[in-house]
Amino acid sequence: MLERILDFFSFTGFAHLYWGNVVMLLVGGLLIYLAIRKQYEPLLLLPIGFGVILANLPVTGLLVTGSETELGGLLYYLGLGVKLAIFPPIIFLGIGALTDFTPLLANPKTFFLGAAAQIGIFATLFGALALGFSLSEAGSIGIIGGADGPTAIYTSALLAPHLLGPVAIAAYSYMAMVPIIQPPIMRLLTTKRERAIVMEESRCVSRLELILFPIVVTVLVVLLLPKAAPLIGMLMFGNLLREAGVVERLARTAGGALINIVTIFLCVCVGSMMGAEAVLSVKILEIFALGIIAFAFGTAGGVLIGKLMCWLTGGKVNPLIGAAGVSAVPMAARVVHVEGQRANPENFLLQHAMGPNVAGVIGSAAVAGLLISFLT
Amino acid sequence: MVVRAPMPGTIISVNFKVGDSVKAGDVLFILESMKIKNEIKAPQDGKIKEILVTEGQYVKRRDTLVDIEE
Repeated sequence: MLERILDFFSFTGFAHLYWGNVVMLLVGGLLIYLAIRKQYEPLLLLPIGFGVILANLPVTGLLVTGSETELGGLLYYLGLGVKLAIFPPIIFLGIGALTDFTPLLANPKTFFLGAAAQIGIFATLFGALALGFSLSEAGSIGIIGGADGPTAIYTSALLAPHLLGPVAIAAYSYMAMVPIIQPPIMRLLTTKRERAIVMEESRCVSRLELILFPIVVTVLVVLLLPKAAPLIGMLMFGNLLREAGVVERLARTAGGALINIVTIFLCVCVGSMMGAEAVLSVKILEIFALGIIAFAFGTAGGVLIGKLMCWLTGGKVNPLIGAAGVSAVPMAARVVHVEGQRANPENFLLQHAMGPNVAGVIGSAAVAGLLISFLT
Repeated sequence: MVVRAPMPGTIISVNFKVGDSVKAGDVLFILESMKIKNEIKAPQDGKIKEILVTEGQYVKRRDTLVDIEE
């Protein structure tokens, strides 16, 4: 009888559970706690956390690689959407359908702020190289500074798939912490007088401009950086659906049901890549440390270029809006608005900050294309 | 003079009615935009002549919210 009980026990997950799994089950639980209790990026951290739990329950076969003769696990097949870099561009299609580029077009010079904030990616890339990561790993870690989850996942999947889980979680965790990370840097680099600057109302943007923008950006950026085509192409296609005004059903689906469905699968799969063996063998603490450096440098780069613009325009640009260039839409723009109001309660920077904020999305996708071109 | 919306968002609170007197700095509306609640204040003293929005209404940037008579 005892032998049968032991025999049964050996088939259960308990018999195969080791300390690494337990650590990762706790990590999964922590992510779910942060999502529910602290409301840190709940749409993302909750499915990622559950994916971590699923991946660390032994002998489930969920992640078994499939072949022509062997049936693979559910998460293996779903994970192909991540490994083959299909899900992130689909998410970008939805983001494009949800993004209003009017603030950027109303004040095109803010595009430079979106570009400047990408400096965090390169600063981190060199930091990662100094810590002994390979070039492709460094590129994958650096992209955390783009503050854009799908871009980070897409780049990591192509450059260093073994780092995908930690990189994605670092990117999403830091994006949730933008309201904590950015304000001290913004205050350090600006004076109260600069933060209090009220920006003039931007010009009106015509419908024709809004329709032409996604087409022109796609053609120009993809000609310049062909490897950015999946991200930029889908982002701008989604935006064209939105601005065309004749395919509302498609725009609503792309920015609603489709992005939600793909987010569920993408995040569960990202979580499922956090198996104990995979995670505990990489230098995860270094990745998280480099990730925060990426955010800090990106914020500082944007604010400093904002200061330069402030000086060049005779004080018409509030340098705080540069911090929104890290993307992390729309949290970074919200942080700018709140900091601006703290210095001057009559200051409404939200719309002005959305310019560099959406420019940051284009900027990080373009840099992703650049990294993929040179590092693969 | 008219007060316009500084950004797109939803009017979640209208704090006065037609005929009320307001002083510069009084909070006229709460406008929620991207989960941020913004106070829209009276730019000058005056009497409310016409209110052009209601609670729960979505407004675009530069939409006129209220007309204040000096």
